[in-house]
Amino acid sequence: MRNWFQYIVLLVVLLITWQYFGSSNNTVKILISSPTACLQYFSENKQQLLGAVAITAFESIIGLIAATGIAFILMGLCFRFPSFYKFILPIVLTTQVIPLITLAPFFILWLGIGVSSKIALAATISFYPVFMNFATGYNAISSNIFDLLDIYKAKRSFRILKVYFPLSLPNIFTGLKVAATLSVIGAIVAEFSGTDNGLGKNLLLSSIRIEPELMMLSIFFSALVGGALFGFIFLIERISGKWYLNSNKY
Amino acid sequence: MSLLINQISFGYPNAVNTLNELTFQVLPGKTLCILGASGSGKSTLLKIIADLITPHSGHIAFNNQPIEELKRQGRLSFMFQDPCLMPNLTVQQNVEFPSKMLGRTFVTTFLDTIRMVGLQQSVNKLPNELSGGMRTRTALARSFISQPSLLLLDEAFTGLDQGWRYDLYQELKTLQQRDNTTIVMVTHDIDEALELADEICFLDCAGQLRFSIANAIAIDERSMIRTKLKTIIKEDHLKQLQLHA
Repeated sequence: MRNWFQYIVLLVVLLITWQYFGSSNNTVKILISSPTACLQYFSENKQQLLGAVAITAFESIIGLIAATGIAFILMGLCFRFPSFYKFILPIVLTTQVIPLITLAPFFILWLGIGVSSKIALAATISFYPVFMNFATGYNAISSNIFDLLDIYKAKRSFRILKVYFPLSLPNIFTGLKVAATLSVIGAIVAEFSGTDNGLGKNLLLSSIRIEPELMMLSIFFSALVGGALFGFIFLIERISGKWYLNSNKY
Repeated sequence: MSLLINQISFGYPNAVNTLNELTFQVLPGKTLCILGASGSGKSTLLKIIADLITPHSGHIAFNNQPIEELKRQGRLSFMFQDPCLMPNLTVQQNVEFPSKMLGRTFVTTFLDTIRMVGLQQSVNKLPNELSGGMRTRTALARSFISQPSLLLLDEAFTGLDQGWRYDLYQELKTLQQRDNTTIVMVTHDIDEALELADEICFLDCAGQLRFSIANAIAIDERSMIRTKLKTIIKEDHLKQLQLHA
């Protein structure tokens, strides 16, 4: 509780400082505006701004879900066919050599200017941490556990659902938390390359039109979407990962 | 229901130590302890017995049936040095884990086993809430939930303090008596071997059983066995150093 209070005090101090310099110094005003000016801008353009937030949030969420789904399907195939893991791992690692945000124009050419191309980039960027962390969690399972499963002739479905998945859970959540923020980055970067609406478009327009209020509000809402996604995953982890969250080592 | 190991040979590629035509028998309800230095192939031998590793030659039978059949019936258990508990499951769920894997329930055995190892008060605890001794105790209960005919112990009590060890030795003996379980255990602790085994073997660095002796109850005889074993271990260690040189 004491920590929360400290953060609230810090936030208030930052807002007051920002308001003071934003209203008294012209350079600061042009660069980052002021909280009251941002609030005024928000009330005047509420519909457009909230629409942009909704679109970017939608793209990020669907992108994250798609990335998680693909990562789980691939890991499922790896469990079913162990040689597939050895085949796919170098490919996944090699794809990381490409700065993935450079694929934004490609997805726009392929899927058009709508939300599909943004979802595709968000999914592409957030896939890697989910898959790699799941794979790391699986690889960290003690070889004795595998021997135990062999001794009792455990069925494949039992192994996956009752052993591999739960024992990889700490790593899966680590990957999902990283992926949550990455999917927002993916969606916004894709929007930079062309879109009808979204926080990325607003950020781009803010620098062209020199509208620091729009820029600051877009940054704030981007952080809010990323934070909300992260928080949602954090909450699910608190519920399903009690067994490892309550201990330093399991 | 004796365990018969016949002419088993095995070696990892590029390894110095190999198992060399090992042959021995363990009588029903008896405990054979295999002593040996680190890397002599003790654990590998247990994995071969458990049909987790295929030997280059030889065969293993339990009660004239292949080990595979024993596994199918859920009558083979294995205890590792690491208790290998599922961290997300309670003690009860961990003990019942073999029944889940086998798709069978052992209600009577569960209650009996839990009582015999004194886990009644801890059934709802998670492994991270248990001490090392209690975790090993849970692993012991898990091993006996299916009333195994054959139990393999791979340095299962290593790392525990003396108090816990002696409690666990007693519990193991009681459970073994209940189910008439044949036990093959490996350790490098002579005292543990003398405490638990009916017969003690020494696996040397050449992969052969050099010494096999029926364990004694009399303190004097045990002392003599201990001295003899220590001498053999020292000799083998020197040989192993020469091999690696």
